[in-house]
Amino acid sequence: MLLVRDLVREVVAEHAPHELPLVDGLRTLDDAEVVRVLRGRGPRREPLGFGFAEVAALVTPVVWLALDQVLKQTAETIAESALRRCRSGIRKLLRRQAEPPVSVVELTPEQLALVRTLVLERAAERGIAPQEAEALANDVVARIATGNATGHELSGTPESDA
Amino acid sequence: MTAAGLRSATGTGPRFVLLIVLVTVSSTQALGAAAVLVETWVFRRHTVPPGWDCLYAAGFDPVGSDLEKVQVIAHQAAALDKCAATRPVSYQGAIAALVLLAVAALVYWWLPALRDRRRRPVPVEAVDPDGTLTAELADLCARSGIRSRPRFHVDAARLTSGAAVHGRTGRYTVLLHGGLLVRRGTDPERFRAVVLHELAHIHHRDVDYAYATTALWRVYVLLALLPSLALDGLLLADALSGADSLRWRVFSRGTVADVVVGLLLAGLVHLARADLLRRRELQADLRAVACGAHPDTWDAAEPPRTVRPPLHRFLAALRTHPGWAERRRTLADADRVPGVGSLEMFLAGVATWLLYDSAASLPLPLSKTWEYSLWTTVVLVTPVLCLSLGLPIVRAALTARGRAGSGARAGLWLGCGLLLGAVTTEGRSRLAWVPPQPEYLVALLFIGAVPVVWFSQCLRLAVGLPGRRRRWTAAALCALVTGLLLAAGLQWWQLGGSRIALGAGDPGGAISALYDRRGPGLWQDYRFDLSALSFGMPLLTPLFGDALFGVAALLAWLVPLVLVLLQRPGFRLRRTLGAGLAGGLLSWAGLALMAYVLYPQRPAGLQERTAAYLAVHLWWSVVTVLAACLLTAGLVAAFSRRHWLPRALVAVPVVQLLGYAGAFALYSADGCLGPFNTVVDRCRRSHLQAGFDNSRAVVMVTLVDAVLGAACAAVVGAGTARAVRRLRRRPAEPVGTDAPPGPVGPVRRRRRLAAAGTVLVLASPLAALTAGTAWYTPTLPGDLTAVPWPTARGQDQLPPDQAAELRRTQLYAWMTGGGTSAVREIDTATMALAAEITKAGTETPKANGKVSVDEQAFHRLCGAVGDRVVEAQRYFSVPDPELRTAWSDALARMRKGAQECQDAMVPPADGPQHTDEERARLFTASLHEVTDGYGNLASGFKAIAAAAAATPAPGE
Repeated sequence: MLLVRDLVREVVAEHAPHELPLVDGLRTLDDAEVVRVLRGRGPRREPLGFGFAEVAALVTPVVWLALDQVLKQTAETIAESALRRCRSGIRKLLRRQAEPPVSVVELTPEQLALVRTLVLERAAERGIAPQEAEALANDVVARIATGNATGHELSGTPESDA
Repeated sequence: MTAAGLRSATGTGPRFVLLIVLVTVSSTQALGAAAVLVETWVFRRHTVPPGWDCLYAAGFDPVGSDLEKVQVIAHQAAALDKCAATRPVSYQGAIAALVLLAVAALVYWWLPALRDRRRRPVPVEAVDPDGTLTAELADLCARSGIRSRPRFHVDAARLTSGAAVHGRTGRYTVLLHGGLLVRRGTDPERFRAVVLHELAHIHHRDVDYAYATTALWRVYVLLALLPSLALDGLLLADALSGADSLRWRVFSRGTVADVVVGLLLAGLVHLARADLLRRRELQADLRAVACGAHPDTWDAAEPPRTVRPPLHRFLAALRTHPGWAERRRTLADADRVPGVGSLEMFLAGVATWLLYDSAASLPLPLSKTWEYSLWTTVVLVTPVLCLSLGLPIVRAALTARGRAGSGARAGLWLGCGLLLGAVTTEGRSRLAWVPPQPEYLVALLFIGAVPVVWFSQCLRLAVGLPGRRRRWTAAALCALVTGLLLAAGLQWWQLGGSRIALGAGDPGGAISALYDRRGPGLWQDYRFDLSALSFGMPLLTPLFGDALFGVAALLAWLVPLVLVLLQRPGFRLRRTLGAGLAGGLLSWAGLALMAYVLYPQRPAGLQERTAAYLAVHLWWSVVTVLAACLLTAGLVAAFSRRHWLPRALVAVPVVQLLGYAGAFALYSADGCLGPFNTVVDRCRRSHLQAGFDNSRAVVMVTLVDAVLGAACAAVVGAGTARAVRRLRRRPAEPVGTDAPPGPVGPVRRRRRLAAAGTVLVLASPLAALTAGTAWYTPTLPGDLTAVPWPTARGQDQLPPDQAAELRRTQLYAWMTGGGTSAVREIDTATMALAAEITKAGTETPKANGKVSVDEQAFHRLCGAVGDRVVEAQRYFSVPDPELRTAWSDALARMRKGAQECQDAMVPPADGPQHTDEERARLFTASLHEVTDGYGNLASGFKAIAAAAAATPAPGE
């Protein structure tokens, strides 16, 4: 089964290899947390902290958030999503095993088209050049299609540290 | 310290230490007060707050006016000191503060682990399969010069291109944001800059300071501040509900002030910590660039402003990080000399006062608390002030760029901080937030300004000296004198200023009354002079006879004089000394005028002249000498463009010496001066002793005050001149640079001799006078406590039941505080006397029907009774006016009887001689006096005990 985090890593390795340390770091979190992180919260000040507020990664959030949006629309109702979030919060509080990684289910052509559209939109929002965005969107769609057709499964997925 | 070290020094270390000490000491106070509140309010143990029982025994009236309270304290000061010395020192607050410190240490120790547990960072190796990141980080560590390599972790949940460092001493963790790892691929310079900045924090030990203060502050807020505020809130709620109105009256004002002081401390710590961290950030930027970070990395855009500029400036003071523009300014001009900040000095002022106030709650003998508190504060605050003020001056001298200011602005901000602190903390013991004579609060501005300006300007002279060792010695000496000047100011306020502001400088006309008692009927012609004296003496006497402050006054002008004389040729002092000379001549003219004006008011008799008239004469001599010193200092400061305070102070000893010489001449040549004569009319040589005695009085009152007052006058003079120059649109000072220490040529021998001669001529006599005043113990004109004080009328405002309860409480405190034991002592001594009388009664009578008594034994026993009675008289007066009279009369009667008994048994050598018959009669009468007095005393005490009996015992 093709996992979202694996698909994202493959795409990032192809299109923005400098973002790989970030993806590897994110893979230590569960999917819901990653999505929360990528959606972005306001910068937090900490004593002796220093740096720049702008988000450096471009490709990772584009791909991960687009996939998350489509999969949520296909797999869950809103109520289920809320329930899942609650469960995730309780797990986190009780420091239990994190939720299993989300896998990419088989998508209809319409849904694949939606993935492509979302990737293009988010890429445009983040200032990625149209040609690069086009290549990125095509690659994502192709990997979903071929990955599900072949029952692709990546090995060596870093475990989440629950 | 090397030049490079001085250039990069921030002086923030002592400020962090001051903050830590302030929070710790404040926790002692807050926890001690909380313990008292719990004991008093929750367990309903006392009506009198613990530690206040001596005051209540003295008749302290919590609802009386502030002036009445001061009067009660001043009236029975000796008895209060004695009572306070017998009270056990409370260790509750100190033990609680130690526990708090231990908890803070644990939090400091475990805080990094807690952060890691919450953030769940991953080691950097987990995202670095090829090892290049680890290698680069090791390289950056080597470049930054830190000794122990920190751990590097990645916080994947942060997409920003930043990093932070945390940890504890020797074990630091740099937390790289996930976004920073991406940045490494696209902008490696920025990555390096961020990491080097964090490593600079480790190098500067910022992590230790920042996290130690964070841990202590959080623990203080949770364990001390919030519980105290909660208790205060409960007490106020209880009081407002009307459950216990007397207790409410007793505690309410102090409770509200406690809340305000707590909030002030919270604001101070937050602002001071933010200010310190901002400075540390700038230093970390400089260090990062010095270690190889590219300055262009700091070209980041400021976040858009969403608030108006004034609010933005206020919010910027709350932030722990400076803006990008400020960071770039610092990097662009690393040698820029930023002056000492107004906020920094203001916060230092508030911290000084809060520490001064809270250190008095440390477990020390009650009679010594303010003394220890003063020196604790001065020892901690002086390094902070000297580093904050001195580093810009030293750096200006090293880089030969910019100029450090005169220090007046910084000093006034320090004074503003002292003022805020004083008004807030003194509010705890006052009914009114602002004292009845608020104009005296201005003195606090001078208490802040004088040490700051003195240090700033003297240090500028010190850095101009040739030779490193000489410069360091001079700087250390300057710091020492600055501490002494600050201590003198604080002491003056504690002993004089605060009382004067309350309107209790001369409470109830006590000083006038005292002089009146010395010479009844002689003062009617000198009412104005006496009121001037009553007004002026409380201002001049708080530092009277203190050897340390005498030394401070001496050094305040001697150090700048030596520094000026050691400068390179060209630094002229002739005009300053000339101004001093003119001031001295002015004092002569003033003395002559004063003597001439007073001459017609002389009483006819010689005896009368030596009483009130001479006192008035001496007083106006003091005023004349002081006025000449202050005027000279003010004018010298006004007309000096640079180093105005050192110059003004150098002129003062010249005026002092000439003024004292003038006073000596005036009084020793008394009788030879015609219309300028003081007491006598015949010219004789034997008046030298009178001249010496009278001029010594002038010297003793003015020796310290002339110098310190002149420093204040110089601040006023320089400020006025600056304002006038501004109005006339002239530059206040030539815009230029503080000239660096120039090449010092060989100082000519003549110049050296002249310099040494000047120092010797001025310093020797004044040093001798300082030593003389320190050793000389003046005889006070009388016992101030013996003056009848106005009775406190505060409890008249209370409803009858509450007034009665308060009276019972006071009487109970009076009895338990020492009244009962005094009666017991008298009882024991009287019983011993009675036993001896009984023994004499059993003797076989002689032929004349009388018995012989053991005179020595009776003399001793009567003496013992007299001593016990004197002890009881030294104890507080009975708080109830009606019971007081009976008690005092009984004691007076017993004392008289005991004395007569002693005199009858062993007649004094200088007393009248009596026959044996007369002695026998006197002896019998004295014994009757003693026994009658004892009977009255017993019934008086019974009445007191009955009046106090309704007071609930502790624990009820």
